[in-house]
Amino acid sequence: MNQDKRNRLDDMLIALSEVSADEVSAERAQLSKEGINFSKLDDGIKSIMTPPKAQKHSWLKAAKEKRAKVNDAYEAVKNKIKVDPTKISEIVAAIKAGSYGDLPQQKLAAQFRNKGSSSITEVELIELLKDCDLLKILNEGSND
Amino acid sequence: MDPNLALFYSEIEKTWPQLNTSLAKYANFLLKNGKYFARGSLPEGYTIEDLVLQAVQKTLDGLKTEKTGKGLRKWDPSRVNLYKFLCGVIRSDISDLVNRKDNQVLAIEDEDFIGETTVSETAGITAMLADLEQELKQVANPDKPLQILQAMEKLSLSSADITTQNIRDLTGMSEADYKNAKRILDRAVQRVFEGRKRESR
Repeated sequence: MNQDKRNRLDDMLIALSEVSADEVSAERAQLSKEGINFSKLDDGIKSIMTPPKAQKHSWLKAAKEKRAKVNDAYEAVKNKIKVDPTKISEIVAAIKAGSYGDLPQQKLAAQFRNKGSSSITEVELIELLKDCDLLKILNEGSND
Repeated sequence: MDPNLALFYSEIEKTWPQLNTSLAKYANFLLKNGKYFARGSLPEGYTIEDLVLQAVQKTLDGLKTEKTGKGLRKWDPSRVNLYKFLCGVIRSDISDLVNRKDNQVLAIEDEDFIGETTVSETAGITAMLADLEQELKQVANPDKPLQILQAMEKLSLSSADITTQNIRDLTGMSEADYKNAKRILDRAVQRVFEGRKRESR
């Protein structure tokens, strides 16, 4: 292999290919004759520079997956400890009220308290969340 | 936003018509070049436009992610301008595509003239330059294009950047003279590639 020679030739080709602003039309006409479709290039760049819908979908998919994890965790809480299910619902409602990733422990507990459920303490809530890995999920979310 | 990403967007926005023409021209050159032509062709339905857009997309993806590693295209504006960087991505993609075993269409005895398995070390740039010089002798005013060619070779041998300014500094040509001569040289390169293509057939 002669990498050096190859690089030198490639540098020359790059330099030869560079088209100046006032040569664009003539070069485009020439390249179009050789089969290059500049409309396709112009349309393509627009879709690259604008976030495509597919990306939105993938974001939605990720959000849905995260929500499913939280719901699973909720089910786990329900099955693991014996408390009034309506309180668990309140916890989950509190979590769902915010974006999952932005709720650190204390904020989450405070939000829960504000919802008027005084029968469970902050410590208990945090223990509860730890038990069912919900905190881990939330913390992972906050690193996204 | 990553400052390089912001620069990328602004460069694309400002220079796209010029940039896409240059990139398409470069990809076209490469595909007519003995090495890539000889090894195979682009997969069916794959076009030069796809190559150019794919290079832009890969560069954008590389800038968007914080990951590092093999295969990621991380443009560093302090090292190379965007046009050259994208050319590198295109070259690499063409190489990948045409070297796929299932895409090879021709059995070649006289391998490529610049690539990894050159029959002779003297083939390569020397052969291409000789062909180009020969080709230029047939045009009406060969002196200035030949001067550009020699300046390019001199710059590449001294590992200096082959830029318009450097070439003009070396040759002492005016901007208009340079443009005309470069156009003649471009056409000569195309004819040399076309000739090689025909010979391979």
